[in-house]
Amino acid sequence: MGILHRVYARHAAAIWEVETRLLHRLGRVRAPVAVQWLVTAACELTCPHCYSRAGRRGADELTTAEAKARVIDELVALGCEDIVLAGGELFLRKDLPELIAYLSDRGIRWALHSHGRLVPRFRELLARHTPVMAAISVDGPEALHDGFRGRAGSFREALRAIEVLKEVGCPEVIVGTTVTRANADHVAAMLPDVLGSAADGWGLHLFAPEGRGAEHRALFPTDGQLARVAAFARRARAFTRVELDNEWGSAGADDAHYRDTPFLCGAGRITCVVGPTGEVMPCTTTDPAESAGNVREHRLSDLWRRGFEKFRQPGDASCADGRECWLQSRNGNACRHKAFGTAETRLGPIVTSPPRTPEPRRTA
Amino acid sequence: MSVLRSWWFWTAAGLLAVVLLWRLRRGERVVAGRWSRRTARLAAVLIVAFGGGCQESEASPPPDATPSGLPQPTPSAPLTETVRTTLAPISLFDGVDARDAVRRTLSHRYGQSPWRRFVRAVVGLEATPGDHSTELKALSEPAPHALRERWVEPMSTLVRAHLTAGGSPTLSELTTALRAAERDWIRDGWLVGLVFRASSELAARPTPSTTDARALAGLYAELERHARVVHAIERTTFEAGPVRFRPWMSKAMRPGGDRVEVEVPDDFAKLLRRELKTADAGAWAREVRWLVEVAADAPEGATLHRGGQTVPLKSGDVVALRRLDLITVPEAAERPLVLDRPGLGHARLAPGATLTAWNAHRTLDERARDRIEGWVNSASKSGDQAALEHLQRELYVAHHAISAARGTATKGKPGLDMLWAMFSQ
Repeated sequence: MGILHRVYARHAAAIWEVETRLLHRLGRVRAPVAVQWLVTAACELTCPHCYSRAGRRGADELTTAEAKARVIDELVALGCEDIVLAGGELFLRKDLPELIAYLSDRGIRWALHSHGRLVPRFRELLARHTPVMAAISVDGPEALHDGFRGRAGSFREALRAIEVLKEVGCPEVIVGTTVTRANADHVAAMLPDVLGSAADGWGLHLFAPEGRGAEHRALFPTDGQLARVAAFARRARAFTRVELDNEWGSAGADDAHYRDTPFLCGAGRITCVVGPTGEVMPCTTTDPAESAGNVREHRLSDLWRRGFEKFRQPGDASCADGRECWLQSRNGNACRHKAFGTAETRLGPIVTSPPRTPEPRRTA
Repeated sequence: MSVLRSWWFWTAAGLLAVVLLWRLRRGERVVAGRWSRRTARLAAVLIVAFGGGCQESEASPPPDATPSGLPQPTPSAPLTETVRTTLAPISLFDGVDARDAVRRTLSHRYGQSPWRRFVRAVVGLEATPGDHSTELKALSEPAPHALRERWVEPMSTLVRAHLTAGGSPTLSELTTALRAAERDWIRDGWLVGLVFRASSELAARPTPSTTDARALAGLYAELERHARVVHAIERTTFEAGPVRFRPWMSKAMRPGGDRVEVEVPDDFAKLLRRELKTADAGAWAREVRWLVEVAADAPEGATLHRGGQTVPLKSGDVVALRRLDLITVPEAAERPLVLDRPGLGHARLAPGATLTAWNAHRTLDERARDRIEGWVNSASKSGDQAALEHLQRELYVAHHAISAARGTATKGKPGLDMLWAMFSQ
């Protein structure tokens, strides 16, 4: 491949996007890179930033048979080899061991997003069917995390989950932190715990007002906080695998300072999300207006091939210029200009007129 | 686009048109056949490679440039950096197997390597104030004998001196530890931060001897070089594709210890060589910069030391001071060196003085110190965002006041912690 390989590696995200659109013009759709399945809406925590409004189990969640036939078998039909299981809290789904065994039988790799409390209880299952990646949520130093999650001890439980996942041989365990106004200034204080844990990396998500988060829009960080977290991430990448996740949008040619691969909003183009009741969404939104259909009524492979058309067209307004996270874009949170850039560029150049200052202290 | 004016482009387009017409005439599928995906991918590669399709944006301008589209403060003449140093290419792989060296470097950075375990232990100790004498004594014990001799002992000596109350590692201990780690192919931004923090007592001396100042400049030059390699690895990772983990795949029982290895992309070493020619020190070069102008009547012999280079300073020069820079003023100078910081005040260096990031706050005039203290108080009490932004801009000289204020649990402490992390890492 030589030069083409080099060109491809450097511009993988842009090529992926153009290729998706070209194939769409030809009436073809590539298989999704991964599908996320919110296996249940059940969760014992009620975090204010939850994108899925998790809490009680839904009355009409997909049954075991439906999950096998309408999600897992359909992934095989699509040629998709990776699934991410999330929730709610996935380990609260009673038939999870059966579904994971079925995934393994069908040759599909799986990854998980969890708050971690129940991970030790499923140690044997995880050892037998080890996920290729696991993300455990940690939203701040211990007191902040426990307060935010509404459960004392949940911070320690998350760290224990990371240990267990490494012990069973999960090759990549990530600490996932959703940056909000409440914890943005605590990110540096989390560093010892993250480095001290067995985690292989640290993903810094950005709060998006979806699900229950839509009721707590004030959780979106201030401009100054966004800039400080981004500045912290730039430094921390020199010694740990910290990444700004997709909700942050693209930093353009500066992406190398924030992530391992260039930004690509995969919503409806390379990924989709299957909700607990079978609704197929472009990303983790609970807005029914965004659904491409339900797997109970249509085959997932058909929904993938025929749905999400607007995401596969050039000049799609809902995806801004392809450099913005779709979730943030649909909520009016254009964030990258505020967040990225060095302190000096964002704050403006040094000027010869004095900035506003507080009243100087009078010394005796 | 220049490509549209090239003969080979139109030749290729003509050939393609002939093939398509020929297939059309034979009633065959033109594109949407079994090759469509590969054709689409090739077309996508070409479109992107030649600048069509998704536009690549320019990298952010140099930190002191005026970015377009952002709200600007009061319109007035900004300072423009006039003192710049050059980037000498780094030869890292002379006489060694580059691929093996890269694999070893990356293995230190990921997984459960002895280096990562050491880092975790020290990070934990640094984060919790108190007496760590027992843990410090035992710091090197878990490491295998061979590793102790290579880097664990010198690094442990450094950490013990750094974290023992009232202690400070010597320049020799700092240099020895850094070189021992580098000999074992450890290249880690955390190490740069540790040595920088551990040098705080030494670098805070206002008037070290000429020999000591040169030695410190030498150590900081080595740190800058190390940071450049780390930054080059980051850039290479972005270009070559992420380094992946290879889990233990055997069906037999997993052996003890960490069997996860890193998969290094094939052309990583080659790309890294190229990046080493141009990579700067990343955050150590671009962040916490303090733009100052050398005032009139600058003394003869005032010198900027950066990355092993020396630049004489004269009146009117504008320097963007970085954390690993030093400025020395000769003892024989007739006048102090004065640096103007618009909007803040002045820094004054007496004859024989050395300016570092660790003592710069002491050189400020009273007005500047009062301003910084006012911002720190405001940020500490209420987490005032405007004050935090001022402090971020003046971090080079504000870190001392920030560090002192972090000892008190206030509403604004987390914001100050963030700023301290941005200075010290």
